[in-house]
Amino acid sequence: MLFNTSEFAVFFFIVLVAYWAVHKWMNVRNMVLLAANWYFYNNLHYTFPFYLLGMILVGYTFAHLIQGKEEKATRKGILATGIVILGFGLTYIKYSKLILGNIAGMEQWQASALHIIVPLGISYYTFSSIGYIVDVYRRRLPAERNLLTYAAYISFFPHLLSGPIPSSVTVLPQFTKISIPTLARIEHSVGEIVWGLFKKMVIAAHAEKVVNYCYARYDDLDGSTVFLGVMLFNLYLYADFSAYSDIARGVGRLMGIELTQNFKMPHFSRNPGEFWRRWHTSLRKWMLDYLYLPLGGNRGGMGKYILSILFIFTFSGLWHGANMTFVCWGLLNGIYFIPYILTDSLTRYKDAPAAGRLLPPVKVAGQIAFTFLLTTLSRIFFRAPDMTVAKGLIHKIFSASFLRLPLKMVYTKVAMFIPLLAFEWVQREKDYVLQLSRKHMWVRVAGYIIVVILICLLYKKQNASEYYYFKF
Amino acid sequence: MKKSIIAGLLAASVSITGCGGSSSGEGHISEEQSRKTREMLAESKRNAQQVEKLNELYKETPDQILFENNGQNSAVYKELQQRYKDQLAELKKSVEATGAKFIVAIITPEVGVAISDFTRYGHPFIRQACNELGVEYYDLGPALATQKPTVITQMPRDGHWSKVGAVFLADQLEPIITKYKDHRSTAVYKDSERPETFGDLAPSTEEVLDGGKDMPYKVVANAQGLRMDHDVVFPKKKQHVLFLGGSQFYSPFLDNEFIATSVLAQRHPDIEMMNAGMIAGCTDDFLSLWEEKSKYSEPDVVIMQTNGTDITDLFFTNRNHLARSKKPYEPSPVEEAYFMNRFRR
Repeated sequence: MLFNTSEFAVFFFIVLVAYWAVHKWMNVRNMVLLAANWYFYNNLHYTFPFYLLGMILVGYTFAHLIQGKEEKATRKGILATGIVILGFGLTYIKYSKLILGNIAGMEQWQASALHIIVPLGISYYTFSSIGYIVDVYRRRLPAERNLLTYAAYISFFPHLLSGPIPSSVTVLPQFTKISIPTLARIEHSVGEIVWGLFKKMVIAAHAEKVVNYCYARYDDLDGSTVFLGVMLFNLYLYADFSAYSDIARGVGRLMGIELTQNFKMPHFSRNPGEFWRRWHTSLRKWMLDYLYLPLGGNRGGMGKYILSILFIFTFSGLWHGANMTFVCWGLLNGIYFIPYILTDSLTRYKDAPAAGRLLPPVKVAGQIAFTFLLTTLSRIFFRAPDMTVAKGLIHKIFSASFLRLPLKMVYTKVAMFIPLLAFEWVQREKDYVLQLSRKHMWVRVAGYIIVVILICLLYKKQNASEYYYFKF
Repeated sequence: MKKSIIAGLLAASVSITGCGGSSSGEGHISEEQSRKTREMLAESKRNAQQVEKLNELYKETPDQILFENNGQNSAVYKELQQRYKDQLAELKKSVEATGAKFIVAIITPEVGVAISDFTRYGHPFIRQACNELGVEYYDLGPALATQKPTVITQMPRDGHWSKVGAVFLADQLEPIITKYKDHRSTAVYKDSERPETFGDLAPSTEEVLDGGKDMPYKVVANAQGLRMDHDVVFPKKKQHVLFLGGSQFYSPFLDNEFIATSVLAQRHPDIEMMNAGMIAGCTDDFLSLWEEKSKYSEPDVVIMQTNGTDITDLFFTNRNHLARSKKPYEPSPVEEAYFMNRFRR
């Protein structure tokens, strides 16, 4: 059940009515939510909710075991065991092919050989479960006593399949409170949902097949077309993934649950550090809290700092998939940091780029363009099915054919993103992209209606196209 | 002021009563056209409803059982063969009436162990029908049998031509092109007679399709709905060769520049290679396309691709599912009997 389907609209309407009808009774409310989550996940495959249930029980039990002990070593031991158990499923299902496939006599034990279906969203709820027990271990929050509350939190359908990976400290407590959305919050939700639908159903839908074409037929194309194809994928991925996150946030807020903002207009970043503070921020925060900082972060000298960065990005690559291409993608993104670290120019910007101005100064425009180029080049590895294709794409891009005119079909699709990015640029200092006039309600309503009309007019039906990040 | 008001009223009265000569005539034509359009829309709606009804009543399409008793004693298969032969004869007659040369090319990538009953029983009949009707045919089967399927097609992912296969197909068609390079048709149509398109592709499009197999390919259609990257001009300045056929000519999963007709066009810039290939077409579709659209492209040579599935595709349930005409196909008594016996017993 995809967010951009009428089936989901009906499902969500029913859930929303039932949810608010019983909102005064916390347990009943969470029970309604749990039933909705189960139905939502069961819709994909009947076995998936059982796997999720197992994860919930393990997470819940280990959090209480940790909380019940005072001795640090014991707590640490329980935490480690919990992480191993919670991480086993993800590791086995996603990585057994990589690990066992290369060990003689062990091939038959791979998950794929045993026909185990990869539960969609497994990476996300594994990470949120691990994050929760670590937070309990760190005493950042008490173990949730009510199993129902905890289950509703982990399996919450808006973030179940593609995040944002919730932070237990900020999101879990919301499942124990009643937070009736104000009119402003409802409007915020509508704005995010409408904008998300626009990005998915119009922008991403029109780009998807051309992206697939460029990656599949790169051998027949000129370097210029291949480069634009990779750039198109970079933009498509943003439209597709941020659309999901926007809709998830909008849907969550209508139920009184505030989820993490996963995207903050990342293509206006001035360096790779800023990019990662704006792109898939929930994964970055998870990595930061549970890997990077425990590893020492930027303390302990420049060498250790660089090594930590490389490790984190390689880990992030592996989180996306057990494939050498993802390792390269991760490493490359880590390597991008090195010149900035060595020259001490990894500025932590607090303001939006060129805040208060319509156009950026040349220096800022150059920084944005260069960062965009770096992320685009890394997408070669992110989308290529294997290293042979990745090498082929690089070979094409850095060939003489780069100077030829690209295919019209490809550059017109890239051009399609210009109005989107231009609008986001204008809105870059707002809380969300479709935040229009604060004063005049009719301006805002007209804005939403225009976007809805555009969706209806320009909607392109995709071939059962899931959101790209479902596969992770 | 007064004069101008009177003049205006007079003009209005002329307009209302229809006394103005030329405007009256135009109005009449326009009404006639809109009546025809309304009738056509109503007919197509009726047809769509009837097709839907037939598809509900008769869902299944025939399988290999159609070839019971080696296809020889199957009454329904014999009827489909006769239908195929009749359509072939009609197409030959209509093409030759324009002075164009009509040629049949029997093409299927099925070779060796991959040969299905459609080919096993279909091809001998097609050859026999061509002989009886005096149609010149080229059976590419023996030449294809010398090739590795994994080289000339995109197997195992798909059985249509690979780039190598498309060049191979062009090589096989080459003798036909050369042999008839001086042949010219006699039919010439006025611009007003010509339909907007000669093929069934959406005109003036450049898009990526993947056929649901995650094998994206680029389809370029010219303004006349043909799979080629430039428009055909009139009055024609060079020989026109029309390729009528199914997916073997359309060539899914290959970009335009790699398909056989493009290879031939590169080799023969003095000849207009017009590709009207369609997915899942058969003689019934080729005939209707020819009559409605393709003949107005003034081809000098028409090469029709066919194979054994074109015979079974004429079964009424196949037609109701696939026909480009979208007209309802009622079962004949023999088809009805076969259907009931096979699927409803």
